[in-house]
Amino acid sequence: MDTDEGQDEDPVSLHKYLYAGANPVNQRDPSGNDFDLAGSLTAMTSGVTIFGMSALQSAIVIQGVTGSLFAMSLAGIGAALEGKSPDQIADATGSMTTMAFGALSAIGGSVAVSSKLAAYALAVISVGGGGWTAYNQYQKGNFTAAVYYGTIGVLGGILAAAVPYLRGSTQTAPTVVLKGPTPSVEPTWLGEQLILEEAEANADVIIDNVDLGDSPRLEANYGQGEWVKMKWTHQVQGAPTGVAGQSDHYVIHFFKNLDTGESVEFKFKNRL
Amino acid sequence: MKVLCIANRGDALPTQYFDPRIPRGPRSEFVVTPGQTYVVYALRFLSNQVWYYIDDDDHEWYPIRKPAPLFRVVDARLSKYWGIRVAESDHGSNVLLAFEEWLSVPGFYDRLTDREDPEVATFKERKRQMDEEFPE
Repeated sequence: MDTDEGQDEDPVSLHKYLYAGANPVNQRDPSGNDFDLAGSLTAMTSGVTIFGMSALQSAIVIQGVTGSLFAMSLAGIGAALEGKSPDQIADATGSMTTMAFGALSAIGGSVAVSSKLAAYALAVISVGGGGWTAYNQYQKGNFTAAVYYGTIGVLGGILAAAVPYLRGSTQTAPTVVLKGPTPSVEPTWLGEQLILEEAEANADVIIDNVDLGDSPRLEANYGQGEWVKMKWTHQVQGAPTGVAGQSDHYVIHFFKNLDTGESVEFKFKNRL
Repeated sequence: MKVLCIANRGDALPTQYFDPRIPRGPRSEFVVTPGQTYVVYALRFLSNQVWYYIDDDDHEWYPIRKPAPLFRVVDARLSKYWGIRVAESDHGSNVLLAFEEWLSVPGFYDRLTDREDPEVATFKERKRQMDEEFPE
């Protein structure tokens, strides 16, 4: 919790959860009184550049401006909800302290979600600070402001706790979807059934065993081992040979696990 | 590159071409004809084995590998369409000399043997070129 009592003319400073600089997702402020600039900078990996500056310099400017605007907005809303006069609201909104604190805290907190532990700490701080501020406002009779600070604190806490998972999900390597098993061909008559059995028992021609693209899929569907693509040719005695459009042999392809002996996914690549 | 078939039985092969997990033995026959020449469409060195990819007597739509000891080289020129790919695998060194598409497109040979139309068309054209390169 922020041990600083804050100042009435600077509503942002009243926020007990403003360790996070009104930006609990991106801000880290473990002591409640300072922020970790170096750590924040390491998280600036957007690579966006502006006005010819380096990506790091651009990120610092962007973070600072964003944090200032957010803090100014929050200060103005808080002052209004507390029943301040228009001048006081304007002062709070345009407070240099608010802008500077927002900018610095936004920069410093940009890596707050780099670890789950930091994010959980921020969530606790946000909820605790928001709750504490809400309680103080309630004691003063500012019910609307109490609800406001309480809600901000809870939402900030939820967001801080959730972001590491969101980041994790967006940084996960693309999932490779492997096709399922392909059923073996159905023999249309007894002769084909026998040919398939013959192929499984006698096939001795390996088509491919080193560049087999199906290996990951086969391992996923049927189990580990050295999978190879096999070929078996069954010559049909008495079948017409050399006749265009007619075949005199069956060709069967299938996959075999040389380690387990399992044979799967029989296909007729050529049939009479 | 062209090779002349000098044997078509397993008993002509050294022991490194036998795998106890495959029902291949000295009496196994290969679908090639002694005395016939074949154009080599690709060449693979795999550990201590050498394989020629040829259009064997089944005349399928893809070249299939045959053990080199079944053949004698009769035209030692390498195809001008060949490139080379060198890799290490579980089987040891894996060196492939083949035409560009085979080398550069992942899964090319896999899909060719599955009779995928684009790969079959590519091989058909490469086969024509290499057959012209090494005429009868």
